[in-house]
Amino acid sequence: MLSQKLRALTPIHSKGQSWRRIVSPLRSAVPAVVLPLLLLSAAAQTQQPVPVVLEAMTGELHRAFTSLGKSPSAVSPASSPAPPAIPVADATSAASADEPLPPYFLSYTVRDTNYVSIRALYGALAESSAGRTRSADIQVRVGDPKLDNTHGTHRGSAVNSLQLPLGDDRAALARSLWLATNTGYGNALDNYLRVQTEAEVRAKEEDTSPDFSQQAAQNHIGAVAPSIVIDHAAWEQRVRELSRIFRDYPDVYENMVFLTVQNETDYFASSEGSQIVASHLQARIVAVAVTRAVDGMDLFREQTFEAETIDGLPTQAVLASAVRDLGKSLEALRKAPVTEPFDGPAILSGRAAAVFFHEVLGHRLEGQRQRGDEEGQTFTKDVGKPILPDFLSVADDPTVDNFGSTWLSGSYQYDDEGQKAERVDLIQGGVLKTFLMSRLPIASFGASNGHGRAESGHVPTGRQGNLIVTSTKSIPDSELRQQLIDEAKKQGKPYGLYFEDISSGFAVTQRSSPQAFQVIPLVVWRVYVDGRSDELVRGVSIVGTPLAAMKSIIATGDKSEVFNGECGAESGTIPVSAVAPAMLLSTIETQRQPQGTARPPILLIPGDDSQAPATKGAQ
Amino acid sequence: MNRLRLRTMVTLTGLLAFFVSMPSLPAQPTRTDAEKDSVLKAMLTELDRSMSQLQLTGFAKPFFVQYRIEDVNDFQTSAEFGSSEGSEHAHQRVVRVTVRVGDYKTDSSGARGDGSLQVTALDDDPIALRSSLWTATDQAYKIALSAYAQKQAELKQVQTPPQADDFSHEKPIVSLADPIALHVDEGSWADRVARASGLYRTGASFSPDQRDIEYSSASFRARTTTTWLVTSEGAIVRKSSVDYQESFAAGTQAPDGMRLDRSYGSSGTSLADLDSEAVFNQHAVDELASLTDLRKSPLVEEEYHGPLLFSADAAADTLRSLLASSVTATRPALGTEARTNGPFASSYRARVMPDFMNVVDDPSLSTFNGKGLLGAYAVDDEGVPAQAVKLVDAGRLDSYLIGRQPVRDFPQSNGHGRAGITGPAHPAIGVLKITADNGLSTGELNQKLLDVAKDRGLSSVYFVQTMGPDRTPRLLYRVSPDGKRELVRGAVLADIDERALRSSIEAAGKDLWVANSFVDPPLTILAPALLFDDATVRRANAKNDKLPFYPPPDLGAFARPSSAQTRDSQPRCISLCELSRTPVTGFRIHLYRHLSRPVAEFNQPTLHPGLTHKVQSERRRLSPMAYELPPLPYDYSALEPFIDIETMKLHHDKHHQTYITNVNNALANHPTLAAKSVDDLIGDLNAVSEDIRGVVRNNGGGHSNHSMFWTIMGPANSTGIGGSPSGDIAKQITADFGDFEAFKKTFNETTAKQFGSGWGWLVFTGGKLKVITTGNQDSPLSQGVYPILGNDVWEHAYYLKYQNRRPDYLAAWWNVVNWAEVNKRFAKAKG
Repeated sequence: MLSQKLRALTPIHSKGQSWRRIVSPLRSAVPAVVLPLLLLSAAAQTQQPVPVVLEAMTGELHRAFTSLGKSPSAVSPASSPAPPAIPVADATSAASADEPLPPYFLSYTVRDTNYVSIRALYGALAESSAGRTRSADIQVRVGDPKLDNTHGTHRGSAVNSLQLPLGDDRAALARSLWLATNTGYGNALDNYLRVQTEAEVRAKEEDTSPDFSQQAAQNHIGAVAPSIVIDHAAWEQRVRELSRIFRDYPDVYENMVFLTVQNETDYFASSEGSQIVASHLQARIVAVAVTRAVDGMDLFREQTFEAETIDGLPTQAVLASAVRDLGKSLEALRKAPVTEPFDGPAILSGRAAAVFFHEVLGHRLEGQRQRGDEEGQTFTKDVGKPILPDFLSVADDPTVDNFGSTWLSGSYQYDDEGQKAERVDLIQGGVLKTFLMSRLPIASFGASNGHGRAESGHVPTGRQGNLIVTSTKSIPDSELRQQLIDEAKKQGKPYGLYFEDISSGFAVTQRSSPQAFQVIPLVVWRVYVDGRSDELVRGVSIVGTPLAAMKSIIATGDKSEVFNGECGAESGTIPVSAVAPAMLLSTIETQRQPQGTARPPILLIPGDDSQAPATKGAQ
Repeated sequence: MNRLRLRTMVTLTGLLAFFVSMPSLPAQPTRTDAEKDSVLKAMLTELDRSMSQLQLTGFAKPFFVQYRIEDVNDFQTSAEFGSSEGSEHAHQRVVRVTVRVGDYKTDSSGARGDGSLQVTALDDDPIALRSSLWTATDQAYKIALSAYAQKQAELKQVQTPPQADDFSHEKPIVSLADPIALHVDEGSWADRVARASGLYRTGASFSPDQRDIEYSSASFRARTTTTWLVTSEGAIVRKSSVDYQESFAAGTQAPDGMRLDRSYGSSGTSLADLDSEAVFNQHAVDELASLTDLRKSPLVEEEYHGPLLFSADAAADTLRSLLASSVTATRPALGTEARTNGPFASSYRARVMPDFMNVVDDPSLSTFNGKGLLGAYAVDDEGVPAQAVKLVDAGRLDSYLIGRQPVRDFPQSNGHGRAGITGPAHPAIGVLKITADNGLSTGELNQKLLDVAKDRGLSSVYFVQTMGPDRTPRLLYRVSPDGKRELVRGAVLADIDERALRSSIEAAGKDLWVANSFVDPPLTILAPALLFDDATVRRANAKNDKLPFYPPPDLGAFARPSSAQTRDSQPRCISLCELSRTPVTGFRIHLYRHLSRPVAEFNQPTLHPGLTHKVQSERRRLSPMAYELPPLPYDYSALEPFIDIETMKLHHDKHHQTYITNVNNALANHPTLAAKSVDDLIGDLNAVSEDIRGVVRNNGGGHSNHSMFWTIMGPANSTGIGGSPSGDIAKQITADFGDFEAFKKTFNETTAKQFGSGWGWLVFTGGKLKVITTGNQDSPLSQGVYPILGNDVWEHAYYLKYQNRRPDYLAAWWNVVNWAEVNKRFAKAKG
C-alpha cells in the first residue's frame, strides 16, 4: 500500500542539521506526481469520484509542504513548469542563524455544512433559517514530533481557521487555503520559538512524551453528504404546535422547542498522504421548559430526540406526548417538597447513569488529562488497576451507529485528525486498560486510538464518542428496585432515592457557562421502604467525591438506555452518546442544592383568560 | 424614497408654548388605529396589565414602562476571490422592555441600562408576543427595584445633588408608518458580489502582479428594521427603515511588508441609490489598481508640520471622529457639577470651530443631492420626534444632542435618543451636516494649499484623499509647489484634535461629501473638504509583517517581488479595517450574540454552524501577558508530609499556570479588563463580555483562588503554621463556632460534601464567619465576599497522595495553614 510507504514519519528536523538534509518522508519517498496517483488510488478503492474541494486541498497542501521553509531556489510551485526564483520571506526569523524551518506536518480539514434551524417559543415561530457554510482548519506543525510548536500551553497554535468559498472554484479555494497556510505557518514559527525558549529555562517535565504521535496515513473517499430535504412550512408548524402545548401548563414560564438538521461533509488531507471524505448527518429536536418554585428555586427540564435524518425523528404524536410529560413533570416538581440531606442507597436510571458516567468517568479518561492539563491526572497511574466494581466494563465505540433501535449521535468513521475510529475498551472487569487518545501521546500510550475530536476552529483532543457501559451483574429493574428497598432497610433508612433524570455540562440546558463534569439531578424520587408510594422531591444536589459513588455500585439493571447529546470541552462542542443500564449504588450523599433567591414572576403568564386579576399576586 | 414613509404623525412638542390641550385633528391616528396592528395591540394589552397590576408588596409600582419590539430582516451575501462564501438571511424579533420606578426627578435608571431583552415571535401571535413582554417586564421591574435602592444609597454618599432630573417629560405622540418589506433577488446579488470579488482574476487591464493580492472580497447587505414602541405615557410609534450596501475590499503588501488596504462601498435607502454593477466594478478595479500604485510608492518622510488638505471624503471621516460623540450630552458622574461628559463637556456657548463653520444634526434630511441618507429618521427610539439641532453656529457650541436623559440647561429631549438593534437608547447623531460660509471650490482649495506652502517656503505639502481607521490615511499625496502630486504610504496623522478643530481650520470647501455609514444605528456625515494650516504627518513605523512564506497558488510562473501576505490575525477583517462606507461583516455575529442573549442559557445548539465558524475564524491576537504565575513562597517540599512535592509541583507549575494562560488568552482582545487585578476582574463578572465570561470565571477564578491558596499555607512545623489559630481570627472562630475543633469539623464536613471539583471557604459576612463552598473555580469574590481562607478540593490538589479520600486530605491540610496570613486576610475582610 502506498499509504504504508508514507506512514513512517521520522523526526525530520533537529537543530544541527542543515536544511538540505531536511526532507520530509513525503517528498523523499514519492516525487511530486504522487498526489494525482494518490487521488486515483483512493478513488479507485471506494468508487467515489474525488470531489473538487479535496483536489484543491491536496494540490495546495502539497505545494505548501514542498515550498514552506525552503530556500527560494528549492521552491517549486506546482503550477509552474520551471521553478523561478521567487523572493518570498524566509522562515529563519524564528530559528537561530539562517536555518530554514519547514513544517514537518501539515493538514487541511474542511467542513462543509448544510443546516436548517427552526425555533418556536410560547407557541409561535421565533426563527427559521437555513444555509450552508464551508470552513477550513489548517494545522501546521514546526519542529519535530518530539517537540513542536504545539507543546504545553501552545497547543492552540496548531490550528488556524477561515471561511472558504462554497463553490468548486479551484483557484478561489486554493488562494484561501494559501492565505490561511501562510498565517498558520507564521503562527507556528512564532510559537515554536517560544516553546524552544521555554524548554531551555524549564526543569524536566514529568511527562516527556512527544508532542505528536506517528500514525498511518488514511485513505477513504466516502460519499458527500446530501443536501437537506425538508418541508419547511410543515416543520415550522410542527415545532410551533409543540411549543404551543406548554400553554396548557401556565407555570412553565419559559419554553422553547427547536429543530436543527445538519448535514456535514468533512474533507481531510495531510502531508502524510491521508485523504478522507466522510459525512455526518444529524437531525435533532429539543424541547426545553423552565419554571421557578415559589421559594425561588429554578427548575428546568429538557427532552431531546435525535436521528440521522429528519425522517427518522418520532411522529408528532410521540413528540407531543413527550412535551406534555415535560410540562406535567415541571408542574409536579414545582409543588414537590424540597429534599432533605441524605446519605444512603440510590438507583440511577439508565439515562441518569449514562450522563453520570460520561461526566464523572469519561472525561477523566481523556488522554490529554493525564498530561499536566488543567483537570489533572486522576487515573494517570491507575492503568491495570481496578477503578470500578469488577462486574462493570466501559468502552467507547464510535464505529457503531445504533444501540438497539436507537441511533447514536456520537458515531463517526474518522476522527478529526484523520484517524480511523476505533472501539476502545477503557475498563474491562473494573480494571482500567487505556485512555481515549488523540495524536497527543502520554507517558503510558504513544498512539492515537481514533478519538481525536474537535469542533471547527479547535485543536483536536481525546474525546468520547459513544460511551457504552456494560455489566455482568444485571438484574431486572423490578429486582433492582427491591434491592434498593432492601439496602435502605439494611442501612436503617426510611427510603432510598431514584434518580430518574440528570442533566449535565453536556446537556443542552446548561444554565450558565459549561462546567466541566457537573451533574445536576433533575427528577429524583424517594422510594420508601414501608410501601408508601414514591414521592417526588426537588432541589437534590449530589455531594461528596463522585469516584467514591461509582465504586459503591452494587448491581445494574438489565436494560440499557441511550443519552444523545452534545459535549462541550476544550476542543469545542461535539455530538456524543452515552449508554448505560440503571445502577444501584449502596451510598450516595445528597443535600439541598443552593437555591436562587429570585421570586417567581409576579403576574400570571398571559393566556386566554389572563385578563383576570393575578391570583398569585404580590407577596 | 421609501425610508420612513410617514403616514401621519402627531407631535405637540413644537406647540407646547401654546397649549397642551390641543384638540386632536381628525386625520391623526389614534390608539384605535394602532390596535388594528396585532403587534401593537398585544403590546398595549400587556402594557395596560403591567401598569395596573405589576407591583411587589412593600415596593413602588413602576411609574414608566416602555415596550419596544424590533423586527430585523437582514440579508447578507459575501464572496472572496471570485467565489461565493454563501448567504445568510436572518429574520428575528427582539423585545426590549424598560421599567422605571421612582419618579421623573430620581428614578431607577443607571449606567448599566434599565431594560431587559427577550427574543420573541415572528408570528403576530398575541399570546406569544405578550408572553415575551411579560417575562421581560417581570425581569426589568425586579432589576429596577434593586437599581432604585442602590441609587438612593449612592445619592446619600455625595454632597452635590444631581444637576438635572433623571428623566424628561415628553408629550406622547401616535405615529404609524407602514412597515417596509424586504425585496431583494438573493441569488443574483450572490452572483454579482462573486463577480466583483474576482475582478483581480478577470480584469483585462491587469498585469499579473496586479493580480497578486492578499484578499479580495465583496459583499452585499440589505436590512429592514421595523420598530414598534409603546410607552405608559401613551406614545405609540411604528416606524420602518431599509438600508442597502454593496462593498468591496482588497489588500496586499508592499515589498517591505507594509500592509496596504483599499475598500469601496455604495449604500443608500433604496436599491436605486446603489451604483450600477458597471460603475461599482469600475470603482473596484480602480481600488485594485491603486494597490499597485501604493506598492510602488515611497514611504512618507519621517515628520512633517504644515498645511494639510483633506478631501471632503477624508474630512467626513475626520469630523466624525472629532464631533460625533463630543456633541452628545450624557449624564455626568454623580456628585459632580459637570454638565455632560467628553471634550465639549464645558464648551457650552464657547467657540469650538472657526467662526465660518456651522454644524447641524438634521435627521429629517432624508436625501442629499438625490442620494438617500442612512442616518435619517422621523421619530427616535424613545418615541420623540426628531428635531434639527443647530449644534455649532458661527463656530460657537450652541447645543448638544440629547435624549430623554436631561442635563443641566437641557431639560427636554431633542429627538436624538437612538438605539442600536436591541440596545438602550442614548444620544447619537443622525445626519450630521458640517458647512462653511463662503466655501471654496476644489481648485481654490488646492491653490490655497500651494499658496500656504509658498508663504512658508515649504518644498512640499500634503493632501489626504481617503482615510483608513485610526487617523491613518489610505491615500496620501505629497504635493510639490508646482501642484504635482506623488502618492506616498506609511503615514499617520497627528495633532488633528479639538484644538485643531477650533483654531487650525484655514478654509473649507463648498461641496459636501455624503458619508453614509451602515453602522448600528446608521448615520450620515455631510462634510466639506478642509484645509488645516498646521498638522503633523509622520511615518507610522508600524510593525511590518513578514512577506508570504511561499508564493500564491495560481501565479507561480510569474517571477516578481512578491507582495501578498496574510494578515497576522484575521485574514478578512473588513469590519476592523474600515471605519466607514464598508460592510461590517462582523455585524451578523454581533447581532446574533445580542439576539441570542436572553435565551443563550439553553440555546447553545441553535447557533448556526455558519455563525459559529465565523466567530471562530476571528483569530485571537496575543497581547503581552496580563497575569503571571506568582512564585511559590516556599519550597515545593515544604508542605511534606501533608502535601507531597509531586502534587505541589503539578498544582503550582501546571494547573495554576494553565489558568493564567487561559485567562490571558481570553483577555487578549480586552485591554481594559486585562488592566484590572484578577480579584477585581472576577469580582465584577458582569463587566466581562458574555463571549468570554465563562472562560474568565473559570480561569480568572482559578488564578485568583490559587494565588490566595499558596499564601495561606506555609512550611509544616514552623512557627505560626498549623496548630491552633491565634489573634483576631481565633477570637472570631470561638465566637462564631464555639471552638477551633468545632470550626474545623464544620469546614471539613461542608467542604467534603462539595460534589466534584470546587473549594471550601471561610468568609466573613453579616458580622459573622461562615463556611461556604463553590463549584469549579468560582470565587466568593464574584458574590461580593472576600475569602479569608480557602481549601482546594479539586482532585488535582490531593489525588496523588490521598486518591479519593478527600476527608483525609481535609484533615491533614490544617497542619500547613499559615495563621498569620489568615489574620491579615481577616482584617481585610472586616474592612
